[in-house]
Amino acid sequence: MRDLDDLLDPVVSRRATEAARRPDFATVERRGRRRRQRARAVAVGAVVAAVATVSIVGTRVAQDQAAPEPAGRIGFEGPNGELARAIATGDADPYAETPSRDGSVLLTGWTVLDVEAFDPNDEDSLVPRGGFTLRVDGETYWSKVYNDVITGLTVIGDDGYVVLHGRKADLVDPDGIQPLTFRKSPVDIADPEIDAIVPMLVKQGRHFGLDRESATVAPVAELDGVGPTCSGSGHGVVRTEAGEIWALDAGAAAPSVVRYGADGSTSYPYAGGLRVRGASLVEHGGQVGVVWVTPEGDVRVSVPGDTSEAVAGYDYPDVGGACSFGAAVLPDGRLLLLGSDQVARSVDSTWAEAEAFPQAHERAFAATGNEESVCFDGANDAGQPPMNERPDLMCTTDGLHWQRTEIGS
Amino acid sequence: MDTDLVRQVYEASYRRLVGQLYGVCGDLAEAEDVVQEAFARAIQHERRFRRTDNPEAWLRTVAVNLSRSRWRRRVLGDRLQRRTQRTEATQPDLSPDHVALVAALRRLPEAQRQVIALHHLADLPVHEVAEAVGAPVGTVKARLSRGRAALAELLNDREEARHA
Repeated sequence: MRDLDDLLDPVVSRRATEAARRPDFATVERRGRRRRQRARAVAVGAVVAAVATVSIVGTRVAQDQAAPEPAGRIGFEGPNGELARAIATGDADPYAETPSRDGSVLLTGWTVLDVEAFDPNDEDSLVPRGGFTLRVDGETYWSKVYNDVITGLTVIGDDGYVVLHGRKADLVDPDGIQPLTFRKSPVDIADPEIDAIVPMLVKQGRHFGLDRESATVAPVAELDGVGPTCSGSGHGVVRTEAGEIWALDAGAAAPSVVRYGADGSTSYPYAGGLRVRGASLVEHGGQVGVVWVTPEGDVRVSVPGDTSEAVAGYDYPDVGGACSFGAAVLPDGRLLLLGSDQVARSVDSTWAEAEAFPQAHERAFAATGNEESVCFDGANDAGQPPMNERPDLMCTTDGLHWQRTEIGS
Repeated sequence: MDTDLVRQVYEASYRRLVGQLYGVCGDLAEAEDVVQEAFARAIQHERRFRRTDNPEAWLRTVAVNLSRSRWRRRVLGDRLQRRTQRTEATQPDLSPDHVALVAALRRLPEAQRQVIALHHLADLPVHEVAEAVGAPVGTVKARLSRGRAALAELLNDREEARHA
C-alpha cells in the first residue's frame, strides 16, 4: 500500500471524469420539467384541498344524518396532509403495494423517513414512521402518518385490506379506516364468523382470524408457526371460497401441508412431509397447489387427487431463484412461476404441464393475483427494491406481456 | 423556457462535476445521478440559476446536498427490513490502492468524507470546499485533519488484516 499522501491524488477524480457517462441533455431537461410540474401540482393541490374541506364537511354531515359511521372509524386525509406532502417531497419510500382482488383498488404502504434529522452515528435518531395510500378509480386517499412503520398489507375480500402498523392493525376500504381490536382468546379455525386469515409477523408470526362486522381479530391456534418456507416469498396459508384453509407448515423438520375443511375436518394431503428448499401455496377457484423446489433444484407442482391421500405431482422447468420465486394464478387459471432466469407458465388450468419463456424484466417477487391480472413487486437485478428509485408493480394478464405501474402514481 | 445556459454548463461541466462527486459518493453511478439531478434542479429553478455568479459552484453545492440526503437514506434504508443486501458499487478504472482508498472513504463520517473527497481528490481549494458543504473554512480544515487521521487508520487496519 502506498503512502496516504500519494494516494490522495486527483487521479481518482480524473478517472471518474473520464468514465462518466453523459446522457443527452434532453433527458435531464425532461427530468427538470417533470420536477417543476410536480412542484406546481403540489402547490395547486394544497389550494384545492383548502376549498375541498368545506364540501367534505358538508358531505359528512349529510352522511351522519343518513347512516352513522361505525364507532371509531376514521377518515382519510387530503392532498395537503402529512403523508401526501412527504410523498411529494420524496421523504416517503414505498414499502409495498397490492391491488384488491377485483383489481379496482390499489393499496400502497409507505415508510416515512425524516432524512435530514437522521444522524448515521446516532441510532436514536432513526425514527421511521409509516402510512398508506388507497387509489380508487384514479382518486387517491391518504392515511395519517402513524408513529410506527407499516409491517403488512393483507387483501380482504374484493375491496378491503388489513394494514398492520407496528403491533396494531386497521381494516381499510374506500369508505374509511377502522382500527381493529385484538382479542386474546383464540378463535376456532372452522368458526363461520371468520372473514379472512391475517398473518402477523410482529405477533410471533401468528395468524389471526378477522371478523369484519365486529372489527375484531383473534389468534387461530391451529395456524401457529405456519408460513412459506422462504421469508417474504409466496403464501403459507390460503383460504378457498368454500371456506377450506390450507396451510404450509414450514416449521417442521420436513414441511407439511394441512387442509382444514369448513366442516371442522383435518387432513394431510402430503403425508410424511415434503423435502424442499422452497415452497409456496397457490389457489384458484378452489383448487390449491403446492409449488416446491427440491434440494436438488427441481421444480415440482403438486395438487391433491380424488382422495385425501392422493397427490398428483408435475415437473416444471427451473425458473431460477431456488428459494425466492413468485407464484400466482393468471385470470384464465394457468399457473405462473417467476424466477430470476425465466418464466414458467402452465399450458392450461390443470397445471399438469408447463412451458418456459425468457425473463423479460427484472426479478420480481410477492405475487398478487386477482380477476384482472397478476402483479409482482418489482426488484432490481440483485433482487432488491431499486435504491433511490420507487420500485414498480408489474402486472400481466398472460404471463408474457407486462405492464409497469409506478407506485404512488 | 430558456434552458440554453443550463445546456451550456451541462456540456462544459457535467463530467468534471461527476469526477468531483465520485469521491463523495464512493460510487460512479450514484455520482452521475446526483449531478444529473442537480441539473434537473437547475432547470426547475432556472431563473434562480441564471442569477448565480458561479453556476458550477451552485450545481456542486446542490449535488453535495443531494448526496448527503441519499447517503443518509441509503444507510437508513439498509437498516430497514427490506433492504439487507447491497448492490456492488460501480467504479471507474482505478488501481487496487485507489479502490481501497475509495472504499475506506465510504466508511468515514459523512462530513469528513465530503471534505477529503472535494479537497484532496477533486483538487478544490479549501474555500470552495467550504462553499460546497456549507461550512466555515476553519471547520473544513478541522474536518480535513480529523478525516486524514481516520483514513490513515482505516487503511492501516486493512493493510494489517491483509498481512495477518
